[in-house]
Amino acid sequence: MVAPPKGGNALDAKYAVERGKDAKESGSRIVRPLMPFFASFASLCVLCVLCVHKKALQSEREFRTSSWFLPRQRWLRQGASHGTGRSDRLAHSRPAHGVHRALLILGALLLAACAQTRHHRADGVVEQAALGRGANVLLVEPDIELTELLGSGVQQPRADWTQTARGHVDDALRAALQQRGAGLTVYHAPQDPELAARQRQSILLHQAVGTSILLHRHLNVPLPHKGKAFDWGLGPGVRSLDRDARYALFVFIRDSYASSGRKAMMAVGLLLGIGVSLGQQIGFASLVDLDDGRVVWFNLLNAQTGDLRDAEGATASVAKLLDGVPL
Amino acid sequence: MKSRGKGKGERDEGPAHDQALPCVATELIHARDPSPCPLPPAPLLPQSLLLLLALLLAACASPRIDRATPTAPPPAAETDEAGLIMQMDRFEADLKNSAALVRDPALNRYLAELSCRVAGEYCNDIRVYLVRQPYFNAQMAPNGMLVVWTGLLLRVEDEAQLAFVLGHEVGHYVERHSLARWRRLKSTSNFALAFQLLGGGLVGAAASLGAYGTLFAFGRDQERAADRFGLQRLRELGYDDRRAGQLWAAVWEEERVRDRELLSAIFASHPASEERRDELLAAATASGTRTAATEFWGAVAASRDEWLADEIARRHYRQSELLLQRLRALPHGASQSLHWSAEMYRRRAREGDYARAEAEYRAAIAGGDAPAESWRGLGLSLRQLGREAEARAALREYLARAPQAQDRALIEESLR
Repeated sequence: MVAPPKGGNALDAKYAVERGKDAKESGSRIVRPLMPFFASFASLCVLCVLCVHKKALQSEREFRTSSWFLPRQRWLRQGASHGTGRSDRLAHSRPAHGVHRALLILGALLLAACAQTRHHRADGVVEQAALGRGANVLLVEPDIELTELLGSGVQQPRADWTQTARGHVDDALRAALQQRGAGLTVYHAPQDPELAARQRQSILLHQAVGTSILLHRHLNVPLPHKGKAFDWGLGPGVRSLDRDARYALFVFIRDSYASSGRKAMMAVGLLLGIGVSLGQQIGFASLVDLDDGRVVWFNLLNAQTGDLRDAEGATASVAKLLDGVPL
Repeated sequence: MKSRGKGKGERDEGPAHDQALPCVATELIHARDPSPCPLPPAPLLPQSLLLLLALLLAACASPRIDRATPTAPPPAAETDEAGLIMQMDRFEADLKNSAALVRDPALNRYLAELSCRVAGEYCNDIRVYLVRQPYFNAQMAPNGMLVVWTGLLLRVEDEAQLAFVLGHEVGHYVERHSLARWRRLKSTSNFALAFQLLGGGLVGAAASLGAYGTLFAFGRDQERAADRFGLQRLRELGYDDRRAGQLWAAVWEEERVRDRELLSAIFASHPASEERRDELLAAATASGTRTAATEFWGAVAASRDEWLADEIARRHYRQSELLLQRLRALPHGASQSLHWSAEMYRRRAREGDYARAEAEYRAAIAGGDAPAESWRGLGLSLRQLGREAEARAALREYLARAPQAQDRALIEESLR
C-alpha cells in the first residue's frame, strides 16, 4: 500500500528531470538558472501530495477495518470502483468540521477497541470442516517483530520486546495446538547447510506468498486473473521441511506500540481533528499442506489492541490468529 | 547501510538556489565550526522561518556517539542499537541462504583474511559476504555484516584498492555510523512533523525537504570520515595509499557517462565521486608502496569470466566499454578483457559494432589464450557482416575447440 505514492514520486521526479532536459536544450538563459528551483518546487508538490496521500490511505484503511461507519465505507468503495478513488480520498482526508469532526473523534476512540480477523480456506476445503483434526503439524518458527511507534511515526525496532513476544507466542501456539489435539513438531534448522538453505527458501517462499495473499486478498489490490478463487500454494517442494508432518503452520506478526511521544501526538491530533494511530498489530497465519504445498487456510489479524509482551495478551492474539483453523 | 551516491548532477547550474539547502545543512552539522555560508535569498521561505528551522534542527541534533569497542558484548536489549542489530541479524540469516551469495571457499577465505587484517582489533566483529551483483558497492551493517558486491571486485585493480574499500566499511562499523544515522533520522522526522503541524502546506513541505536534505548531508560527512579511516588503515598496513584515489578516479570516469538525476546533489548519500577522488588523492602521502596486485588477481582470476558476463548483461554499454578499456591496460586482465569487449560489441549491435567485435575477437585470439567462445563470437559477427565462408570456418574452429559445448547442436544446424 506504500507502493502508489512511491511510484508517483519516481514518476514525478522523472518528469522533473525530463522538464529539466527540455529547458537545457532550448538553451534559454532565464530557464537554466531556475531549473533547480523548478525541481525543488516540483518535489515540494510531490512531498505535499505524498503526505496528504499517506494520511488519506491511513484514514481509509482505518475506516475499512472498522465495522462502524458503514455508509461511509460504502461510499469509499463506490468512489474507488468508479476510478475516482484518489480525489475522493483526498477530499476525505481534509480535517472535518462540526459533526464530522465529532464522528471522526468518536471513530478513533471506537477503533482503539476494535480488532478484526478474516480467514480464507482453500477452494474445496469446507467451512467448519476440521479436516486436520489430530494431524501432525510442523510449527515453523514464528516471524515476529515488535516496534515502538515514535511521535513522528518512525518505527523503532525493539529487540527486548521482540524476544519476549517470541517466547510468549511460541508458548501460546503450542498450547493452542495441543488443546486441539494436533500432533506437534517444532521446526529446527538442520546441520546440513545445503538442506538448511533449501528449507530456508521454502520459508521465504511462504513469506512471499503470504504477503501476496495479504496484498491481493485483503488490501484491495485484486489480481484480475485470480478472480475469487483461493488457490494459493508453495508447490510440492515444501515436503523438504519435514518428512512426517501433514501440515506446516506459519505465523507472521508485526506489532507496534505507541511511545509516550506518540500518545502526546494523538492528543494534539484529537484537537486538530487528525486521526493519529497508536500502533497496530498486523499478522497472518497460514496452514500449508505439506503433501502438495497448498495453502489450505489463511487468516489475517488486524488489531489496534492486544499486547504480545505479556503471556495473556499473546494467548488472546494467538486465539484470534488461529480463528477458523481447520485443526 | 548505505547506497552509493549518484554524483553531483547540477553543480554548475543555478548556484544561488542550488546551494540553498546543502548550505544550511553544512552549517548546522558543523555547529562548532561555523563556516562562512550565508543564508541565501530564499524564494519560498521567509528568513525568519529559516532561522526557526536552524534553531529547531540545532536543538534536535544527536549527541556524539562513541566508537565501537572491539569484541564488545551486544548492547542492552532495550536500546535502539539492539533493535537495529536484531533486524540486521535477520537479514544476515537470510543472506547466508541466499542464491546470490558467492560460496567459492578460496575466494571467501581470501576476503575474510584481508578484511581481518584491515579490521585489526575489530577482526572478530566483522563477517564478509560476497554477493553476486554487477554494481560497484559494499555495505556495512551495525551488527558487523560486511557485504561486498562482485561488481566491486571486478572494478578493483589490486589488493591495496580492495583493502581501502574494506577499511572504509570497517570505518563505518567502528564509528557506529548506522546508529548515528538512525538517531539523526528520528530527530529529523520529529522536526519535520512539528513543522508540518505548525506550518502545514507548502511551507511545511519545504521545511521537511530541508530537514531531509540535512540528513543526506549527514550521510556524506560519514562517508568522508569512513574514507579517512580507510586511508589510515591502508598506510598502517604499508599499502600505497594513492591507490584509493585512483580507484575513485576510475569510478568517476564510469559515473560521468551515466544519466544523472537532477536532485542528486541534495539527496546523494555519498560525496560525488569526483570530489572524493580529489580529496583522497590530496590526502595520500605515498608512504607505502605495496599494492599486492598479484595476490589479488590470484584470488579473483577464476571468477572473472562470470563477473564480466554479468557486467555486460547490465546493458550499460557505455560504462562497460570504459571499464573494459581500463582492464585491458592492466598486466593481468588483457586478453580476457579483449574477449569480453568483443562480446559486448556483438551484443550491443549498433552501427559498426560487428566490425569492432571482429577486430577485438581477432586480437584476443592473437593473444594466444582466448577461450573457445572467441571463435564462436567471431563466427557469429562475421555472419552478420555477410562474410559467410569466414564465419563457417570460425564456427567449425569453435566446435573443434569445445566439443562438449552446450550449443553444439544449434551451431551444427547453422553450418548445414
